[in-house]
Amino acid sequence: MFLFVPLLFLFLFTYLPLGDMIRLSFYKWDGISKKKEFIGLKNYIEVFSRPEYFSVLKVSLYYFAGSVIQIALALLLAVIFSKKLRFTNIFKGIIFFPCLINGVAISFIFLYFYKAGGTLDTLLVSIGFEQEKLPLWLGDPKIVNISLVFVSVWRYIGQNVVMFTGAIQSIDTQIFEASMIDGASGWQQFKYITFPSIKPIVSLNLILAVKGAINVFEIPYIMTGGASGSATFVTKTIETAFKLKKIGLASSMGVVLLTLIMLVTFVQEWIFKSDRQKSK
Amino acid sequence: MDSKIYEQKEAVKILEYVLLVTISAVYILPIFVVLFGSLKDSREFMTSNPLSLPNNFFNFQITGQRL
Repeated sequence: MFLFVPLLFLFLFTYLPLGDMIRLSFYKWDGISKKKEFIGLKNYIEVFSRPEYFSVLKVSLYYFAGSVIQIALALLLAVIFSKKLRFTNIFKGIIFFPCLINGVAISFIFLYFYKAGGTLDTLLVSIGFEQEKLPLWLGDPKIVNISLVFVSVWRYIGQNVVMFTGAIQSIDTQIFEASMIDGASGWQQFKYITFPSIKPIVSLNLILAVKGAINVFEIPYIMTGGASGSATFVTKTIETAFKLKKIGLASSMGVVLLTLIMLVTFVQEWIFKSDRQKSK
Repeated sequence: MDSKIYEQKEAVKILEYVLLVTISAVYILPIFVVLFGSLKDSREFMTSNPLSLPNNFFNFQITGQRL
């Protein structure tokens, strides 16, 4: 009985719009006029056949590669943080800090960082590069995605580090002590103790990284507006819906995105289930 | 033999500190450049090196009108 209200809200704000989106994906509609034209699967055919809509998923590969690097680096940092070094709390704080900054502020910081004559250029010039030979970090289609992926890694690595440090701290220290008495090196400790113990968390992070890579939105939308080949699937959807006024087509893109995310989730469930059964 | 292992551990430790300091620099630099930029007035912001410190750290006036 008391669940009725939250269920009502869930239905009203989640399932009803979802159903509406799926329904709209079969129509041709500009978002304003009262006339909606039913065109069946044509929207889906357009999404899959026209390269400018589907090929933007290639950009997600950059973000996925970036997040693999991010996870590797986060693991290294977490292992270092779990040792008894001085000032680790300060370093941890510095690396976690970007997670607390608003996404627009981060985008602004890096717009200034990458612009011609900005922070990065000044730094490189002071090392000895020439200003004229430096590329436009956000203007060159070959580099723009790498620059944006760096921002994404910069922003989200703190979360991974915190998660991995927590997981490493939950390992029994007696195991490490025993291995030290047996003369294990740092790499051996990592390979045979640390990594196997935190493997579920690493694989969870990898799957979240796949989802994140498909879902990238904020950083490219604010920093470049999807210009010079940095458009991702989500920014393309927004553009289709609210700039080109093709609500039906954008809805079908939304459905495609939803299906992709659901596929990844099912794969994740499947992997974790088989993992759990193995450990039993 | 023991001293060799000890030296190796020290070297690893120094490497770890170098890594941490480099990464912290990568994190601090972009934020501080924007922070310093916010303390410069418009003319100084346009003409000075982005990495340079502001002339006056307590420059809390309204600078918008004084271009």
